[in-house]
Amino acid sequence: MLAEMIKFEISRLLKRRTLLFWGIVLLIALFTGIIEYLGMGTPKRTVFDAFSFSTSSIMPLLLAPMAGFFTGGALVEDSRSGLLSLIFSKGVSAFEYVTSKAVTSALSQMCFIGITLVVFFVALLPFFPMGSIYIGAQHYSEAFAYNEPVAYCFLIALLFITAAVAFNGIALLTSVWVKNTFVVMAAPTLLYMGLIYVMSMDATKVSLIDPYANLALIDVYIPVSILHMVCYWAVIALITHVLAIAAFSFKKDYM
Amino acid sequence: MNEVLQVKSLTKRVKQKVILQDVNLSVSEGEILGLIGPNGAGKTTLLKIVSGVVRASSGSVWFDKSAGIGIVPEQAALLGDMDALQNLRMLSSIRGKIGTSEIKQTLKRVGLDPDNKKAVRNYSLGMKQRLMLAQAIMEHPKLLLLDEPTNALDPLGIIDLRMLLSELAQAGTGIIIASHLLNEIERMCDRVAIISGGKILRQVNLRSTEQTPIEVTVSTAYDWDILKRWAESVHVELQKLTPNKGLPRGILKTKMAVSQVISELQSAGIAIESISHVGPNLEAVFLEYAQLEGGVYR
Repeated sequence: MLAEMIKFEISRLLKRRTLLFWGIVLLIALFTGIIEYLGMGTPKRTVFDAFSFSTSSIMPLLLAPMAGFFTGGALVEDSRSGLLSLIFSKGVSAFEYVTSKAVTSALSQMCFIGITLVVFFVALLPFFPMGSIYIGAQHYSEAFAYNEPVAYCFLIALLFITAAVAFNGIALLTSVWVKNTFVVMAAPTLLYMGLIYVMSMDATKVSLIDPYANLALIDVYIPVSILHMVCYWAVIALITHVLAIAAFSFKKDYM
Repeated sequence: MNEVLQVKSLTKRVKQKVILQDVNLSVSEGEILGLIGPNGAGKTTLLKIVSGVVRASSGSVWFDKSAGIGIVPEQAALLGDMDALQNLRMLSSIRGKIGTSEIKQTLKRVGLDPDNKKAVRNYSLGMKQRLMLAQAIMEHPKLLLLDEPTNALDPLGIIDLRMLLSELAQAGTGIIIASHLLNEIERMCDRVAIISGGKILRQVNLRSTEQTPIEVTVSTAYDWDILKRWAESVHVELQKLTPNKGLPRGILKTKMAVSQVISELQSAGIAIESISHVGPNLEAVFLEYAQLEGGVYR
């Protein structure tokens, strides 16, 4: 019945009009990053340069709140509205239900961030020429961005997608216990900000909690590549989703 | 008759508080069981445990999971952006047992228009309740759980519900109804379980064929006093009911024929407004236990 539940959740998801709304919000935010980019003095403006600058400025601010909005209320609302009891009455187990939620919400985050970034990139094409990313190109990550701008932009997109899924897992895990929708929605953001603050106390570890490409690009002492960061967030995503599934499956009460 | 639900020694504790205590219950095919009790008695918790959204601390619940159960929760649980047909299509897609034509038939059966494209969030409470009924019965479950099903229904809706449940019971569906409305429970149910403080205090068969007690309504409080004295004198138990339109009313637990009682009451000078045999009187039974449990009625 897991496959049927995943189909059910995907159908529900596609009916959500808020997806389009948040997509537009994210695009507008990314274009404000472009305005900031245009105000900077760069040797030569290119589409990859604009894309990497704008996404690195905007996405870290929005990924966690977006995950909170999308997933925070998922379990709480179903439980509070009584829809959960209808779903369980169809013979669906708690494990099947929460697994379908985890799978569909993670997929929706991936698709939402991925599609929005692609749309953003395509929207930049008429305004900027193709070409390298103009950084100092002295260190490995900078040289990589300079020499392989397509791969670099793909990697940072992958990084944002993975981080979004990790934040999704945090929202899902929180919603297993916390019944206040607003708290659940805010949880990924609060947790992220808290961790950033804690890690910032130790300068050598800041880079380990901050996944974003911009840092990797400018700080030569960071001992991880962008791909490392992708893996790092993927592990967080996996752990939080598995924990959420286990915690919900073994819960005593769902109402 | 085959049982469609068996609840054995069910106990539910939340921290130190006992919500349900050693509940034993069964429902047979075609039987309608009423659950009555004061607020916080444990009715809804019992239904939630049966439906699987709350786990029992101990005890067991058995029903045929392959046949599924239908649930009408206390609060309408719907996908507000969609119309009625879309809602039911979505829910039915989980089991994949029925198609659109059967869903449309079910909607018609509960008095809703399957072609109505209005989003469910704009439905009246009564329409939402009908839709909840439709989702509960659309897959022909063997067991139906209804928590306050008459909530928000207009008088016509209540009559429709009564007829629908009767049809479903005749087709073999076992039904549990939790409600505060004693009159409705009395009309709809074959058997009633009185629940209070998490315990089933008593189960009453409302379709009993044994000789039934007599309900009598008298004209004034003065007549009631004489009736009480007469009942004491002939060693007949008299149980007071809530007055009917201000007229004192009670149940005489006697095996005497109604004609004999009329004759004796008239001889005693009591002005009778109405008198008749009644089935096991749910209100009387409930009040008896409400008093025992420290209820408000004295």
